[in-house]
Amino acid sequence: MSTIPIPKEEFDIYDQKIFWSSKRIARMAIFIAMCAVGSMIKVPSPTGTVALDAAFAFFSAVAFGWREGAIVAALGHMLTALTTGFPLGLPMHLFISIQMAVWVTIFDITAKNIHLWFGAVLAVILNGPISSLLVIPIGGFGLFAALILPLTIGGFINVFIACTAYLIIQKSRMV
Amino acid sequence: MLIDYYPSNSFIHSLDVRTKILGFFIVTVTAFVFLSPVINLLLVLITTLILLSMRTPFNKVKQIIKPLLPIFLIMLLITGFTYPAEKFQLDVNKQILFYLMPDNTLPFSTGGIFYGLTLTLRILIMVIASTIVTFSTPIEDIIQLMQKMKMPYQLAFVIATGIRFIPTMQKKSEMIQEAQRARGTEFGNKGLIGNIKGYIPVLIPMIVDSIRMSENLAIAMLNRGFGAYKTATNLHEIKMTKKDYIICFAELVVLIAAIWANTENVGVM
Amino acid sequence: MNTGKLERGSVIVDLEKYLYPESSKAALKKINFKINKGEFIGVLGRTGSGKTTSLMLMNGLIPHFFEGDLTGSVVVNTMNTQRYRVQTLARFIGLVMQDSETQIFGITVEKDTSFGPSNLNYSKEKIKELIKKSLSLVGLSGFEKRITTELSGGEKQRLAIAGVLAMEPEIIVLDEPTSELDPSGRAEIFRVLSEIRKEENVTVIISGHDSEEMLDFADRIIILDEGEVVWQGKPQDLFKDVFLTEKYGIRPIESAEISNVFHNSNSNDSKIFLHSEGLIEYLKGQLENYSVKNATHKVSIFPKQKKTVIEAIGLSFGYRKNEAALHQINLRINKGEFVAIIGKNGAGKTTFSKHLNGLLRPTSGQVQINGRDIQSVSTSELSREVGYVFQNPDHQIFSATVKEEVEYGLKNMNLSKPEIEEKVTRVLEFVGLKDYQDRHPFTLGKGERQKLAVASILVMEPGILVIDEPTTGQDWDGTKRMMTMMKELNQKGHTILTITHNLRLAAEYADRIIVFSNGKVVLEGTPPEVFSQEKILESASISLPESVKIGKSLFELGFKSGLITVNQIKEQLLENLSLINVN
Ligand SMILES: Nc1ncnc2c1ncn2[C@@H]1O[C@H](COP(=O)(O)OP(=O)(O)OP(=O)(O)O)[C@@H](O)[C@H]1O
Ligand SMILES: Nc1ncnc2c1ncn2[C@@H]1O[C@H](COP(=O)(O)OP(=O)(O)OP(=O)(O)O)[C@@H](O)[C@H]1O
Ligand SMILES: [Mg+2]
Ligand SMILES: [Mg+2]
Repeated sequence: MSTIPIPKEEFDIYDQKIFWSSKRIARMAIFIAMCAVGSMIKVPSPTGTVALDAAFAFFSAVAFGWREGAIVAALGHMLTALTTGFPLGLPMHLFISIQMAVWVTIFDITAKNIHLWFGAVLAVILNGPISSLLVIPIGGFGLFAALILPLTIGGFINVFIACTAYLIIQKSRMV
Repeated sequence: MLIDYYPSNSFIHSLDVRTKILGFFIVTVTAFVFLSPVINLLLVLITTLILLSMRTPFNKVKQIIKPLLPIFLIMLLITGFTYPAEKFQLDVNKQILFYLMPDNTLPFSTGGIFYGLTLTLRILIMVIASTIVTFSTPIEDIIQLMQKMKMPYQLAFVIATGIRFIPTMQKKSEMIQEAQRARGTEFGNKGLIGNIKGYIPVLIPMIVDSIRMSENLAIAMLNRGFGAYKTATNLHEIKMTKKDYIICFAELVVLIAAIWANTENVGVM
Repeated sequence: MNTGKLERGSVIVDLEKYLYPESSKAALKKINFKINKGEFIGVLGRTGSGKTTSLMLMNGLIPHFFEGDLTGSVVVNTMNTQRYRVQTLARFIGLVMQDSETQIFGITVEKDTSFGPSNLNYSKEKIKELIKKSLSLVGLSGFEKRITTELSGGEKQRLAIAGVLAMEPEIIVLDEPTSELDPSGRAEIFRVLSEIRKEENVTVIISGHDSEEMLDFADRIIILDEGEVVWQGKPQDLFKDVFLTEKYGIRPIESAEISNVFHNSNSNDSKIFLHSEGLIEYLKGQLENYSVKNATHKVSIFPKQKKTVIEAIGLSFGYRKNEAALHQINLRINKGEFVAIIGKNGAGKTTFSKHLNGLLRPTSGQVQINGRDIQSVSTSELSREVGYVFQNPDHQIFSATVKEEVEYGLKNMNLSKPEIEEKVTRVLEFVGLKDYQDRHPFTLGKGERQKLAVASILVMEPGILVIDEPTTGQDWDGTKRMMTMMKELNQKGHTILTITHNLRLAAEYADRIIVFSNGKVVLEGTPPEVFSQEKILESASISLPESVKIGKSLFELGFKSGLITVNQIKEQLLENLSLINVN
């Protein structure tokens, strides 16, 4: 019987217990891809079509915790932007993706500690009016006015779908 | 492919990703330093010329910019009406063209429209400059740059794998939408709440399928030894050449010149 | 106790039981076997019998990834799997899972193959060498720069194999690698595997439902049932025993099933043949000087109405410009027919059938359903006339209970509450899901989810049912149940159009077979008519089922023509059994 040499380093890491478990890495990868895919699904609304890009990030947060949700939100937005060629320019998208991560985190923490639908309402407010306020330094009041309505409605649709889906899927104990 | 990288043998393509990112950063800063639209117009011209020199499909750029035009128009108009004219330093800009409402309310100033123009041009510059980077840089280079910047290896892997899965998940999404349409689901034209409800039968199978797939993916990662070590071998390394150092130097010169010009009151309004 | 020799490339499993986390039923119990270096092992068994679980046990996914409750030990390549991480074991034992899509990590073939060795921190030069070698072993040399998402199903599966080969394992384990492939793709995978075993002397362990290939390639078969090893031995011994295959839900070999009519429990079983050639040879010897008595049995084709319900006229379609996926299809399907569409992967079967309910619209030509051109009719309106059951039930299930799922289609039709209630109850009873109506659909097994998908279409009472590959990945019992259900629906008056790679099913159940090849209909007719056109079938890469080959030889021996199914042949042979010298 020959002995099999195993490099020392391999014994050190125990992946199932840490944050970066293979399961979580795989799930994040698939969910950020879904964000990009969701952005190609267009729901008609009074202010033009709304893309379902953020729904997967909000879902990911309530189902798998805010840390995972925040990473999915940020990377998901960057990937979405990448597939469309950074339509607002790289810095703007970096800014939005950090914002998304923060909103998703606040959403998950309030949804878990207060109530799911309270978190949802807060998320819509953050995603709509507050996000629009934050672009004033870049695009002035004009951009604010152009964005507030579509962002609020878009946020509403995405958050509503994520929460409804969560309530149904939760019953199967898959998450 | 979904990712807008277009191989070509242009000069820009031959540069290292770091040179391009630095250039991008400097163009953006310059666009924000000056208030006058003239300089930003010049920057739009320069970036467009660079983009054209890459011989990549120009149509794609038009497609990106087209949906922005209504937003630009709203920005122009609203800034024109609302920006307080007395804040401008130059007299031309203080001039008020007309009032929208009687009793001198909602003045429309030249300065306002110029400032609105500066704002829209800034966004346009960022868009064109981003396009230059994404069109000319393979995604692996960007991921490697992130790793060089000490981003965790796992995060880089998440991004690369996410990109790999976009077409797969896109196909899944189409199949799910077809399956629901075959059961009589109609998307759209049912009012806001009706529309949202119509998409629940699509979103739930998409999420459930994603979770199932991610479990299989995690298993496949372990089967292929993912996580055996803290990092993995890179088959292709990004490298700075002499050309890159020269261009980087030139870029820094431009940055310093821009900041100096700004302190000397060039391009104020 | 198992007393196998501990050597590299061997697997020794000595397991008391294994339970998945939060599960109260053991998925595996009393598993004891030993696999030697260089063996080719087939693992067979019903759906849910524990094939996947036992394969995941071998590379340490159990207990490292799925923790659960494990008693016993597994020693692979002289290493106890409980003491090593999966990533470490991966150097010695490569596992290829069923779903090829989730095993592809790279955007290009080359990049993907490098994933394993680069995780092991091999040097660039070594990785390049390994890529070259493993791609050539699976026959993908020259594919290095190809985009992985654009590969065909068979190529993806071979790439997945190359991915683990690049890590130079001593054992390679494959879980149902062929379930999505057509017969020629399936044979190709087995051929590649036996080639690899010969060249690299690796141990190969493969699970699946491919009886013919298991017979031809495996050295030994292990049968699992209800989580236990119930039988081990030579494939010939298994497939000669039709009762054994029946008992464990394994699809029998057609020749064996037919020659079973000669079986005499007193004598030895030498008259059981595993290949049609042997059986034909035997029959020739026995029947040489006799004149055959042809039984005049009821012909199972009952009168069909002549009303055309589906008509395609000059139908052409392309997903991209200048690339036709369908060329000039002219077809007519009558009310009450049971039609099977066959053809190799990518022939255009699914593309064609999606035109029948308007999911795809012809580039030129037209489709008529019940006599009207559907060009401007919406899919949701057509869903009442044409029901379409997709291959993957999980693409449509979204409700929190089975009942709600079935109701959904009716709600789209704006029916009244009691009407909905009544129809749902009737359909759930028909498919046998009545007892599950309040269960969460995601907690059902694969077979039940498939039934649920059928039920949710059936409830809308469409006259025409299109069912795309309903038996893929199902075991033999599930396959027969599904086909019986389709036959029942057909007898109730539904026109059935099904796509299948299983020619035996097409021969047994369909009134008519349509053969697609390269986006064209190359052949259509009753099963005997279609199977008599060997040349055309061959050009469409379709090889004849064994039973058809036997039927042909019987015709040459004086039997009546058109014997194509196992049952027809058995019937005829039984009729003439006295002629055949059985002792
Ligand atoms: N992740 C899991 N958690 C709990 N139970 C599981 C899990 N996976 C499988 N099982 C159960 O373990 C048993 C064996 O399943 P396994 O998947 O090994 O069967 P299989 O023979 O591979 O079936 P198939 O032919 O459908 O692939 C089944 O009863 C199944 O329900
Ligand atoms: N959505 C799509 N976009 C582009 N091409 C497609 C698409 N779907 C199928 N094709 C191509 O059209 C051809 C016919 O495909 P189709 O799916 O109809 O084959 P099939 O006979 O159903 O094969 P299988 O047995 O693998 O299901 C193939 O070459 C396939 O690659
Ligand atoms: Mg299995
Ligand atoms: Mg198909």
